[in-house]
Amino acid sequence: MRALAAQYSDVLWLYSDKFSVSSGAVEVPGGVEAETAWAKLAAANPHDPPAFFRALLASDRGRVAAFYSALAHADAAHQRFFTKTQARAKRFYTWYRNSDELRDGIGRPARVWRPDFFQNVPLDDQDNVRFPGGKAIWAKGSMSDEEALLHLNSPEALIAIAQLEKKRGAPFDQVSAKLLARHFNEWHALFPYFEEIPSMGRGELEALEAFSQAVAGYPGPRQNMVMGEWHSLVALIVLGRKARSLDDAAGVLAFRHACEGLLKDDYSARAVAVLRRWPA
Amino acid sequence: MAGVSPNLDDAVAGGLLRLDVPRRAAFERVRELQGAPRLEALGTSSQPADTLAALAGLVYGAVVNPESLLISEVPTVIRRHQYVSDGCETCGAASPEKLNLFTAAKLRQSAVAPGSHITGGFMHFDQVATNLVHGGQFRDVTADFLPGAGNSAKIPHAGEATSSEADFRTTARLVQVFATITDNRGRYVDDLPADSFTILDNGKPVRIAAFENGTSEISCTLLLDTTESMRASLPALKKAALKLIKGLRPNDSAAVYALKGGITELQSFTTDKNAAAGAVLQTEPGGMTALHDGLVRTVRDIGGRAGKKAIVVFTDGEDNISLLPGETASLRAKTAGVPIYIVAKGSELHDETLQQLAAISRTTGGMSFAPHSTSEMLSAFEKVYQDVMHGYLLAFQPPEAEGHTWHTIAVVLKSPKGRKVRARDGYYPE
Repeated sequence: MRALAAQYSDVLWLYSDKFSVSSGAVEVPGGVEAETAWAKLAAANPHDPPAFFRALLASDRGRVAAFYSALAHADAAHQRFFTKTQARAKRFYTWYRNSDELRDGIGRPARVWRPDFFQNVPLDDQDNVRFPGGKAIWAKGSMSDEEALLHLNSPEALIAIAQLEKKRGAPFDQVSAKLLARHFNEWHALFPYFEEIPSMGRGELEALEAFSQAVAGYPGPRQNMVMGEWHSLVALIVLGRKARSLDDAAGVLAFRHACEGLLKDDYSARAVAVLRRWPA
Repeated sequence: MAGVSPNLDDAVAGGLLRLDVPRRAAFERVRELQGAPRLEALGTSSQPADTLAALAGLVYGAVVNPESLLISEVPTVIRRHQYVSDGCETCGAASPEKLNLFTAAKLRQSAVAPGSHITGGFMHFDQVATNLVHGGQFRDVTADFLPGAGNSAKIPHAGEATSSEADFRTTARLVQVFATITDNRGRYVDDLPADSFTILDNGKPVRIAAFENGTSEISCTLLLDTTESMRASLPALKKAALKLIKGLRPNDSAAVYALKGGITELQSFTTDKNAAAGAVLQTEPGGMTALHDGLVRTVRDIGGRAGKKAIVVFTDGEDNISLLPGETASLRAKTAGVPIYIVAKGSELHDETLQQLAAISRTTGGMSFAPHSTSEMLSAFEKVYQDVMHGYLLAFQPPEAEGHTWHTIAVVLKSPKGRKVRARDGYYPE
């Protein structure tokens, strides 16, 4: 143990907090059914804990331990999903191992999201991936769930939109999910707002898309002015929702009015008019 | 909100935001400090910038604390808000984030003019608001410190009276002048009567309305830089600060603040010297230096005290984390007119900074030192202590002023006999 600690101190420091042994065997992520997969990845038997941990720490310069840790922090359903077969475990390990998070070593880079991915990929009750708006908008043709996940343009978008869906308590229709996925890089900071107006749907997201596309072409000063008024109105909607003075439907309507009204030439007058139209 | 209230401002505050009485007061105060127009004042020909300031003012009013330094000291924060991200610092020019219309609120700190500002929308604005630096007790700082609002002494708060302050309660607004007199051998002269002094306001004599001499109690603030760079010097600084506190008289008050990644009040004004000493002893090195914010905060806090006052600052590093620019700190110090004594470790600071700090001390009637060794630092503190304990407080009713331009002050002795006078050199009239 002393030799291991000296040799693999960085791996132990970063990834060993879920190492566990029970009844003479390592409690691997995914349980007993996943032991074969882990035996293959680490090239050691979980029923020989000293050998298994030694191999885990050493394998691929600590990268297998990083994958082990990412899954060990997930719930049972996610552990089962990613270790369902040896082949699947190997594919997702390879995907993680070749990513910019692990390619150059096990030290954590500034931007780390893949462990979060392993822990939060949306799953349904049957341990299948739940794609917001349907798999068709996230994957090509007849890809399996596994392939779809490995070929996602923005895995972060899938997680965030699924979490938003969960918080609002209702699934997005296909068009809404597509809009959210397409504009995820621009809109992700707005997601906490979207949570506060849960009935927002296709109409409002289309209005937001039209608004942002138009404003993106404005000259700087006008762009800043219009965006300032839009941000102010939307922040007031959210504050009104939190104060329970605006119900969900009123919030949705106000959001739409803000997006549509501020596209007009007399945007400032429209912004004040939006306030006057709100119920209180 | 039509049909609910004829006044849209009230409808937003009461109907939409449902602000309770204290929050409503804070809401209005933020809008007032920032000069955000009222919605009802907007006409059909209003400039978009005014409408934006009015709308954004509603959000700022609902979220930020009017006591925060940035909001209460810089009246243009709302109008300088950049809603379209003005650059992702870590990404290239072609990065989508450069053009993002929907970034979360972010505080861009800058200790140089025009100072800190906020970028992005209002997402996570509440978190930004908590980082605007608490500016101390909520007081009428506009009236006290802003140029044009004067640096006059207000009637002290009820319950703070001492017999020597009685004169200062008889007049609503007085300009206070702290003066130190030394003879031709550098010894302090403490026994001069009020009629020995003449105060010249813009060169013209004014009547001295109140007078205190060296025997009256003093409120003394210690603002100590305890940032990481002070690790080696901190024990000596503590020793010097403790000696100064120990030297204060029973009725003198001390407050202790630390610069350590911001400004922290370790001990509010107290006559309990053990408590003040305890605050000094508990300081540990760490963080970065927010000297400008610290100066403004301590000037604001001591401004509410009656009687003689002094601020003693120790720093060893350039300001690298303040929200407020140096100009604001200088202006506040100059406007308040409380003597500021600055001990700035000379070997660690740029000449320009040392000159700026020396100017602050000079204009407020304080002193500045740039020690290069521990013994020089201890000696500087001893001189500060001596100076703080020997001084006069004079006050006069400012003459009716046109505009808010700087008025010079000169304190002269009717019989100089080679004596030297050190005092603040001016004030801004109301």
